[in-house]
Amino acid sequence: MDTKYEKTYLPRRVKAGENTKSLTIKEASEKLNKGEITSLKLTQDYLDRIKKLNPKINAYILVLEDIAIKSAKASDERRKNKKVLSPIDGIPIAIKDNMAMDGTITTAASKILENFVAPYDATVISKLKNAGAVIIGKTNMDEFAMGSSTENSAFYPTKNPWDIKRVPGGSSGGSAASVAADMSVAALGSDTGGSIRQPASLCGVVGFKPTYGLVSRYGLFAMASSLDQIGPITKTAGDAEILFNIIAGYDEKDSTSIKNHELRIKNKESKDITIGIPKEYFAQGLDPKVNDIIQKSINTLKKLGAKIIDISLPNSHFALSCYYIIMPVEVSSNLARYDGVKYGYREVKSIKSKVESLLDVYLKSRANGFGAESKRRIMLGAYASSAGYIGKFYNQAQKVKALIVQDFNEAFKKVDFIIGPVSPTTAFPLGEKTSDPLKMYLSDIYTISVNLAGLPAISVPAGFTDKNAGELPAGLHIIGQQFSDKDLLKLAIEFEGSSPELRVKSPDIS
Amino acid sequence: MELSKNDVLHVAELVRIELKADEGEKFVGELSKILNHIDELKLAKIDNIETIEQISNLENITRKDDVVKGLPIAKILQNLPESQGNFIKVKKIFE
Repeated sequence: MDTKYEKTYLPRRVKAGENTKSLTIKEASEKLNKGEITSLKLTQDYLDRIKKLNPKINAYILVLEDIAIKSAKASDERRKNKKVLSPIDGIPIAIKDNMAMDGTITTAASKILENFVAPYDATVISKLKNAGAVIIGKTNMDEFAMGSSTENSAFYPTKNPWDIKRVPGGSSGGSAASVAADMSVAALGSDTGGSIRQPASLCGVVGFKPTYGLVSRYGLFAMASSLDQIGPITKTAGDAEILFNIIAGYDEKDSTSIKNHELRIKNKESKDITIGIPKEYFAQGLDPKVNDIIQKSINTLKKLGAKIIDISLPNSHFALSCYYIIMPVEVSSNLARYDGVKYGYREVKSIKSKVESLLDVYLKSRANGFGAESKRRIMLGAYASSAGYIGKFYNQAQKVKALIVQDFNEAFKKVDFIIGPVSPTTAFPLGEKTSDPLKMYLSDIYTISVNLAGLPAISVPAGFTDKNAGELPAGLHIIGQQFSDKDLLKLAIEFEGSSPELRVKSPDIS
Repeated sequence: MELSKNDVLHVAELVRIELKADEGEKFVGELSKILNHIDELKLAKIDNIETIEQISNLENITRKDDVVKGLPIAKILQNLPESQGNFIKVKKIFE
């Protein structure tokens, strides 16, 4: 517990929709429909808050003021003509800065892409635009989505809105902080090992990672392609559902995109649901304060009528090691494209730098373009997949991944959902884990296996630690079977509805 | 599992990253620590386990070999670190 400093923001629960602050997509959309507010006013309010708060929070890398105002005016025009496109028409939404948006600088928080202008729209961006969303800015992240604290950004670390001496989690820390601090109504993040859910948990917002393949990754800067998935970060599970419905769908531009997933909806009532609690998720390493919050959530689900049973995922303790082979091997390959030739940072000859050959361009552009964590993972991946080691590491990890999938398959014969904590701790102080990569990696210990198995999972705000532990938020992790996304969201919405006192809107901003 | 500094230098060369003076030693320590942790995977019981090639059971996805419009050249050019006309400029490859 850190008591050496004064808290700048005290958590405050704001009444729903008391002004344009703290609105959900649903509430904002209702206000727009009733004519109580225009999209232009709403957007202006958010831009004003960004101007005021971003210097403290650093949620954004780039604010798209002109584009946002133009889209807001177009939205108001459509509404006047009764041509509203979707429930997010006119709503300010933030984008993690690893999704290509035509004509805007898209950096993945890397120096190597500092001046990169995306030449096309990612599919999710086209979908948001076609739905009339006001894209208000690009959020900060760990470089190329590699990290659990947003401290690996090449530009600056993002601060947790609940306590600016602490990290917001990562890698989608900017998106989570922007939603928590009311600098956007909702946001998109990406999740390779927990990068949507862990920051959502640490910032007290909802973060949903859909089933692998349901949301197109075309235009998402690839990190580990067998694991990467885009998803919503929102104030409520209801909003996550709204945003998910807009961004999901088959896309021929992503060869892992899935058709016809709608067929697998069971639509069970909560009284007919069985939920499993894996003992491995409550073992050593879990902060007792987080455990208390999760135990209360389990009781809430019991009250909803769900049957709770104990289960085991015996190989889950291998997930972290398995991930730290498969992921870096893919990273090593995906980040090979940043070589200073066609785009991105290129080292040029100067008094300080001797650049004579093409090899020098590669070596020095990558040396000065990538941050430490990117270099670490690229090297680890190259090592684990190199001749002589691929059998020992990569092939072994692929088999362990199959074991982890098998554990889930066995569990889902008995239960509809699996629950547990999202992260072992609440938000930790800035700088606490930067010098020890392995310690940082452990933040994702409960989220990683979900990516390895391609499952959908959500982090829903479950409560706060008490006053002397800093009143920090923690999320409940609900994991579903592949393609059970709609059922999973339904349960999350019920859970959220059953504990309205947890419907935390935003930290007090003073 | 201990990496040597030579291992690190070799891998750095493979991935085309020139290491700075202090980075070699730093990565030896950090990567060894991570590999030591990862080493636990040898304890997993993987006999008779089939590897999963693709998590959602997709097989090869093909499309017709039709000519489709690519990105406009101007948009590609704007991101080139060095260019000449419509060409990417690079250092010479052959002596």
